[in-house]
Amino acid sequence: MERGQVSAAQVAVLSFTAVTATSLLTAPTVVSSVVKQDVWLSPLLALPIGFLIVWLIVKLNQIYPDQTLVQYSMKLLGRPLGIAVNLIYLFFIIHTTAYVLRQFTDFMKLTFLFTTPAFVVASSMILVCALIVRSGVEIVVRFPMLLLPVVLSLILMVYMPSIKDINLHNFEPVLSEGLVAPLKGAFRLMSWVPVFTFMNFYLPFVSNKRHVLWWAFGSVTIFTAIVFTTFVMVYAIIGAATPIYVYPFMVLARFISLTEFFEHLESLVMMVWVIVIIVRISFGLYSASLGLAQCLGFPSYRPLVLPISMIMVLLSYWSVSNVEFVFSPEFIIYYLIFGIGLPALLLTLSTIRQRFSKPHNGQDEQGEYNV
Amino acid sequence: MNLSKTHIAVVTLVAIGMLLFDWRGLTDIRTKIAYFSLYIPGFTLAILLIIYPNLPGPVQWMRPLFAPLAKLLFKS
Amino acid sequence: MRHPYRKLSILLCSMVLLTGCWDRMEINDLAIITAAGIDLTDNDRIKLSVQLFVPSPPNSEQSSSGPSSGSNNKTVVRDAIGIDMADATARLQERLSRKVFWGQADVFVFGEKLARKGIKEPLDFLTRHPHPRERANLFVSEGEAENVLKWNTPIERNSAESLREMAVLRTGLNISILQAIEELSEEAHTAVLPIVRILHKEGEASPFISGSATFRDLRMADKLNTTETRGLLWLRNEIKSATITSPAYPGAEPASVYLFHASSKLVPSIHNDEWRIRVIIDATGNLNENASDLDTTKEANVLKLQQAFKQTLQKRIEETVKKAQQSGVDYLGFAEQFYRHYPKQWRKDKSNWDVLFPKVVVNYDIRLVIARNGLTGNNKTLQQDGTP
Repeated sequence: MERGQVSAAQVAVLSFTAVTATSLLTAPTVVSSVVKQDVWLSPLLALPIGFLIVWLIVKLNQIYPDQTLVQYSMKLLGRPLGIAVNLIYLFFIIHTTAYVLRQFTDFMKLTFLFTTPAFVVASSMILVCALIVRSGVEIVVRFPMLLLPVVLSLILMVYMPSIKDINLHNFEPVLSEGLVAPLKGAFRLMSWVPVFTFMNFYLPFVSNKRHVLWWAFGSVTIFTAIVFTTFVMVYAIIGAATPIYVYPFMVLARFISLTEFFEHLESLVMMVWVIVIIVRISFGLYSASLGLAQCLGFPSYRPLVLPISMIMVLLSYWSVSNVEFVFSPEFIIYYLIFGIGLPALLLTLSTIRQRFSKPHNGQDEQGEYNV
Repeated sequence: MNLSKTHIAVVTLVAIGMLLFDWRGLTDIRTKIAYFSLYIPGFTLAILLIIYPNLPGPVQWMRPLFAPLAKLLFKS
Repeated sequence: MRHPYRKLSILLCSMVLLTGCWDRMEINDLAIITAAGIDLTDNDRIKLSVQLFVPSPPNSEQSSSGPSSGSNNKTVVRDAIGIDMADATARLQERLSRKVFWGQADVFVFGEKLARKGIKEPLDFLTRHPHPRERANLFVSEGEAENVLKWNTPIERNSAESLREMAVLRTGLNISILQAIEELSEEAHTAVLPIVRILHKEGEASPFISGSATFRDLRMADKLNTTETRGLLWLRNEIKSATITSPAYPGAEPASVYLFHASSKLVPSIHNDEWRIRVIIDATGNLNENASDLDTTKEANVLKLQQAFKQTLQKRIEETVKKAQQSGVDYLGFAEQFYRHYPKQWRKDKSNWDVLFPKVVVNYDIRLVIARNGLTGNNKTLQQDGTP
């Protein structure tokens, strides 16, 4: 089916670019409306959860080196249950990626393209991603690698001129309400972190598997670093008014005026946004297509890409009138179930199986497990 | 997305375009089945959404499904 | 090449998107707003007046060699009345041949009547609508805002430019939309905006920034004159440069120092239910003028001068503080300081800040250093009082 070979570094870059995509623009508002000035703590508190998620996936991949989650879940849960769970899992992937598409369309329509029909915006984006995904896993992972310098330099170009407006006093009083608020903020960040699970679809194709875990941890760390810096910059400049704005990063870009020459930098934000959203959607689209093909036993995932893209565009519009829902707690639970719950369940099952199938190990703990 | 002949026409055009694009890749019967089992619901959904934009969707059943757990975990 | 028809069809399809999408906007079709004035009409509606940028046609360059050409109008003012700002904008669009474009609007002036009634509604428009920029300056005008827009300036391109440059010079306050919103989101929910006044002299009108308006609950509460505004600037650490003039010693002629570096800090403290704020000011300056007979080359005299300047500065700031405390509106940023350093106590006493604020004791700790005396030392030639 897929014969490409990628490297661990590429998968790491792909993962953190994809996850940072949506968080960069809207996370400051979502988190600061709960946490206020201790907003910088939340990414740090969310870091361990990111590590956990990634560790689960890599561990599972070590046990089943050439298989994606779809494949080994069928092994572990048995065919009928496995297919059922997989279909729900795939629906989860398609659904969440559709929401990302919806956020993209909303942002574009709100700030730059007022009259263009949403269908056109969404379809052009999904067409690009479909083309990338159809070309194979190597293209999917090389694309973010290629554009990473561009994205980082554009982000820096938004941060650098803003430094002169920083007011660190905005962060006082520190921890006035204890750790409860930053923890709630870290919970809110779970709208984005569980997307790291999609990595499992790419790990089977990694050629140098020895250092995968370190690269994966590095990816989570870089994501946390970027989110942390964003939170700090945004809150240092916009301060207590951050929860008012839906897109604080954008407000930051518009506020820049360095020597009255660098002004109106919102087009930079648009560029960054478009690039990382492409990465995020192809991340999800490839996972969904490959997963579906493997789940139903098809020789190639390529024909499935376009129908799934069409469904994504439709889902992004179906009954969601307002994107605010994406940040609600129900959605976070949805994410966590499939982000942590499912891999954890699978890992437990596989550990049980291993122990059960090696009776000469001397560990007579089968009595505890009802197999 | 409101009702309009142009919208339906455009969507049909896009659907036909997709089919043309993928026709060569649908070699065996299994792939054809899979493809169309995604394609046909997608196409019908598209037309349905143009005619009737307020179709209840997955959001509607997800919210009540997770509501009790959400209340448990989430105080604010 | 493989699948030539496929690739051709893809190319053709994408060309459809190139024909110019739905959102193209030619610059010729835009009415670029450089400044906007928002007034309240007699029956409580919003009058929105905008100053539009008129690009000068190329063949007028030949005749404009001096400012004597009276019709050198680079700007045009139009207005419309509506229920709220968005409504007024829509009606304004009816009167214009081009599409309203807020992206370059850098100055927003609120009329005095509107400021007294409340600026909540225009501010919501300005922050919610995607076009107006957060860096735009806000002003309050004495009287109608429209008059400020109508002024044609000889020096700058239009009055918006003038006002902005004046704000940047920091003679008064320089408040952008973002700053105003930030201040309103902080603990005290107050804001201050600079006031624009029009000086009519010999038939010419020239607006300038004079004083500030304080807002409480988004309604104008108080007006500060220029001196009080300067005091406020000191408290907010926004002084870029200042000139302090005071008699060199009691009864003598004045001397002036030009402070080129100044910074201030507010340090709150709560001891046994007594709330205090210490105002710490650090200023360095050059002696600009010494009309007295004090010999500035002697260190003792320089110290005397520093003392005199310190007292004048303190008085200036005290005026502002007293006025604020009398009115009970905390636009000095005291609330924010207490919140930042004593969050628990602040939360307890937040609700009677109106009562507490006037009782806050303010101590001053001013350090003023005269770095240089200028180009002359002891100006004996200029002291014509008989002694050689």
